[in-house]
Amino acid sequence: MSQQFSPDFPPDCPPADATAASGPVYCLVHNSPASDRDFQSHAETGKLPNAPACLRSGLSVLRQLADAQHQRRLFPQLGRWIARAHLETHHGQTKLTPGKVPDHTTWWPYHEVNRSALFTIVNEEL
Amino acid sequence: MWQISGCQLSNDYLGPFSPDRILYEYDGPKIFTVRDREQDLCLACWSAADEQSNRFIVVPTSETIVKALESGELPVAQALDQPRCWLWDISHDEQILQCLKVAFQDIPADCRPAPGTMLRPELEHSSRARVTEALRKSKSEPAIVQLTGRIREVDRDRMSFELREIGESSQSQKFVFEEQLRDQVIEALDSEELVTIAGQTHPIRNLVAATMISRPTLPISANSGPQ
Repeated sequence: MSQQFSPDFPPDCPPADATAASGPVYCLVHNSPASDRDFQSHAETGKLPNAPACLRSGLSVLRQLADAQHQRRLFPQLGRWIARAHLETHHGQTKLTPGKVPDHTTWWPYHEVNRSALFTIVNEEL
Repeated sequence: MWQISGCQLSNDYLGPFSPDRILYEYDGPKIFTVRDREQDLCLACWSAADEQSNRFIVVPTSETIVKALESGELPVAQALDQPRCWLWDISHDEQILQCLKVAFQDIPADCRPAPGTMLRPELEHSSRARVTEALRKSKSEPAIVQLTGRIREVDRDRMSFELREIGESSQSQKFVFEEQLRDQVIEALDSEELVTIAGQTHPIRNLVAATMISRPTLPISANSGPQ
């Protein structure tokens, strides 16, 4: 599998301090099993046009299951299910981008990675 | 986007979409303060999104409430449950599409924070710890109780019964009991006579472990027990 990022990524994206993807990540999804629509970046959907371009090209994930569970209680409409993946080097690069959520991580998947296939549903529907 | 009946207001009713202090951010600001046209403080919380817009629940707030949110003393849903409430639909390029006056209670449960959920996960842990500690201090010490009433609803499998008509009132108390009291419990149930139960409170749970059953020798007003 080619380890290339999408040609649509802006220059210098991912940032130089992003590292090879590794370890478990969690996110809320609307579909069970997770579908490709659950893993579209904002750049792909056209949302958050005023956000930093490189962050828009990545996907938001959480490092802790407890944080995903909390997020589902706080914003039920973000997704009814919690999906988990174990990222590896050939899945792309990640960077901790904490902001107000301490373990918020941005994942820039390689262009040919089938994102949804990496994830399994770990929690029952609300 | 979910639908709700409400009073349509002008799009600029709440002023411009200009998040002031961001309290939770995930793919854009999700919970933040904002100033309305009168420069009064409001709290906004993301509710839902579709292809066109994000919907926020907006309510009047205060610095005290915001501090309580940030310190984990107040759940988000409680901060949002205010007498005045608006829905704010904001396009993905941050234009105001709609402002609707609604009742917070009319917002579907799956479109607002679940009750008890704190602003951040680490606050939930500290909040839970505070509650647990408070409960431990206030309730965990076993206490001796003595109540007089009539035994009803014996659960022979779970070895429990309910004592009713306590002190000539409709008050009741659930008891659990050991095998050695079984015959006395059944007899009191069948006879429907007043009995006095001595027991010990069960920490945290609203249960009393019965230790002795007797015919009342004290006036009913002598009852003492958990209220």
